[in-house]
Amino acid sequence: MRWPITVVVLLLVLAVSLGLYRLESEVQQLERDLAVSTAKVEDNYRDSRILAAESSFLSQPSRLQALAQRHLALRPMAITQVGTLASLPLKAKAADTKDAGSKAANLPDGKARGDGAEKGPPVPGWKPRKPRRGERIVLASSRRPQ
Amino acid sequence: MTLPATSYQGPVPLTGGLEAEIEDDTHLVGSKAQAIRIGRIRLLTVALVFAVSFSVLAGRLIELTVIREPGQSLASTAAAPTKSTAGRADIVDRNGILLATNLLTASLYADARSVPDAAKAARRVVGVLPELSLAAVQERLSSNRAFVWLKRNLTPSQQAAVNGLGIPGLHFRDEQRRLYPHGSLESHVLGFTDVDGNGISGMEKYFDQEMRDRGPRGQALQVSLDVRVQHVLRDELSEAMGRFRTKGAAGLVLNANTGEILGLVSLPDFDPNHPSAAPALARFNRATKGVYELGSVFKVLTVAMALDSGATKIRGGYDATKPIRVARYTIRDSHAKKRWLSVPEILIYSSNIGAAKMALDVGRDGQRQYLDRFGLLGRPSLELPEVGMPITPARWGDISTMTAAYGHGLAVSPVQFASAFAAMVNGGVLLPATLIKRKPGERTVGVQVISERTSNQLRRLLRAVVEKGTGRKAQAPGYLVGGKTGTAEKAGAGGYRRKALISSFVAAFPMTAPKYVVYLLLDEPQGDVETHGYATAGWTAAPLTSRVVSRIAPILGVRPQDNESAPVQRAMALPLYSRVDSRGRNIAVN
Repeated sequence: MRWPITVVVLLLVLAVSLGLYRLESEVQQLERDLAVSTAKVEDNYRDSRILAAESSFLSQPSRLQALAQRHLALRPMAITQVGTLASLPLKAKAADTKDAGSKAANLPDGKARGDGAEKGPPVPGWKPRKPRRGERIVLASSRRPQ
Repeated sequence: MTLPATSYQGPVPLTGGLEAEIEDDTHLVGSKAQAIRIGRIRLLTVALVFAVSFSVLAGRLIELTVIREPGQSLASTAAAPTKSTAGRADIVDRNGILLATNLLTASLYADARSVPDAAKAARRVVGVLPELSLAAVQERLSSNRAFVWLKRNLTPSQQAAVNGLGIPGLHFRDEQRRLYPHGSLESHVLGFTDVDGNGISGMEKYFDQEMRDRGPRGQALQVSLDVRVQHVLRDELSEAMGRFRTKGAAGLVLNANTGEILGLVSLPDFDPNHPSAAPALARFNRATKGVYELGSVFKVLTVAMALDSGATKIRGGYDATKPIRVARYTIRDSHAKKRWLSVPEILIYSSNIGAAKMALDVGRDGQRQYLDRFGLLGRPSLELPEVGMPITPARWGDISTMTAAYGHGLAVSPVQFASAFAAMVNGGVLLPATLIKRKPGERTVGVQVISERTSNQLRRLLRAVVEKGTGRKAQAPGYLVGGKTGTAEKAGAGGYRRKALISSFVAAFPMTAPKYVVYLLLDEPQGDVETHGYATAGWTAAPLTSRVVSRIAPILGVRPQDNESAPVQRAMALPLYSRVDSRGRNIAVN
């Protein structure tokens, strides 16, 4: 009657010992990982400080100004470059646009734009036709219709 | 065989079931029974010990595996970074740009007792660190002391070179080194530290303890400076300094509504990374420590106190036909009109006579009270140790009242004056100037020193000075600059020196609702061909202000406005009265 208990207890002891052993080794491994990670964190922290200092050093306004003057065509902003939405011209009314568009569309090719008499959105004008077989493409200026 | 009953000594008093068990064995007598009993007790004891031990182990096992989260086990306690007590907090500008930081460097020291051959070691050390003196190194290495510094803050390559020498007795110690990545750009504001990390000047000294308490990993100290504004100020002032061959220059940009200083420059300046390389004069902060008789810029205050106290009205005026002669002094106008001048004209043409008479109307006590209220008679509050006390007249009589009206006989620092000026244009509220960035939404407590109405009138007057008066060259199209010139003669032995000037210009923009105050000062400028030899503020400091405002306004997000637009014209309208005779003619020739 007693030996099953003994066996159970022995098994229990074995299981607990094994468990503890594994736990212990896991903890040791974790401690090692932790030490490595802590050292890495510290290294990265130092590196980040150096990089921050370097970044600040390299972005000195006087240096950036000298570089911009040498390599970029940037100039200080002029006040004429700043506007407000309110200062934009009013949008053309929808009815006017439609009317002007239809009139412009009735004009013969090549006369739809440029006369300036009609108000409204720009209307597509003359377009060069596709070259036929055997034709060469030459400079547009020499082929403009009269 | 029966055992003698007498040999049984009776049950040993034990506990619980054990006693009963032993009683069952009463038939066993003698040494055998005793041996069994002892054996059982021992077994029981061992079992108990084991039971307790395993219970503890089981408990610990359950705790480690079930109760504790795996992630938060030992790692969380062991990985907490150790807070370094050495070192200081970083300093950043209002946009988070790094201005001062610590870098970990190695410093070389020696245990002189362990160095075998001091002379040879010294030669080899100086071979890789040529900036050291051979004699000094040899003396230290032969000192037989356990700790002597050889060189602080080595670069990594220097450290590698020294390490490569392999000399016994030489060691490295990790140290924090203070680094200012922008060099001299913010030198007078930040100050510098010594090699041991003690704040020596500037904010480094003022916040020395706090920066140590925060530590290098703590929250950075955020100052109110904007490096972009600071750069523009320094750039323009440096150029002006070269062009006008000045002894020095100072400038600051102040937020008129919060008191925050966005830029503060004093030239000449120094590199805080190598402070000892600069002459002592370069370490003198002209913007906060230097006190100067600032000249006509003070007329703004005189007009303010006259209007606010009711001594005169904007329609009022004074006769500036003839110079004032008091005792041995003569007060005359540089831009003399020789006629009756209205209050706006007194400011526009910068009339000393008019300002002096106006100050007399305010009265000696009234003037002192107002100047005191504007914060010009006491020590200004600023987060810097280098703050100058104003110099006030020893005996404040009528003459002092008259001269103080146009900025002579009373010396204040530029930062102190700029704060007072901000109050003149921001609605009349004096705010303490600060170098610490205010938190968003933080309410700034100020003192109402003049009425809002007077401040509104002053805004129109100052705009008129730039549109029509002595400050015309300070115009920055679109930004509605208003301001006042100030040219003061420097005091020397036996009186004022006519050729040694302090030329300054104080401005605010946009004048419809001033956001920023700019104050620029040139110490002893010399005129050039372009200025026709003039070194006065209208020719030197005013155009400088124009350039500074044109450059910083877009950075600060000030939207340009059309000067000719109706709202601006309405806001800046200023009636210019003149005195006419019975026939409707101006009394004096203009």
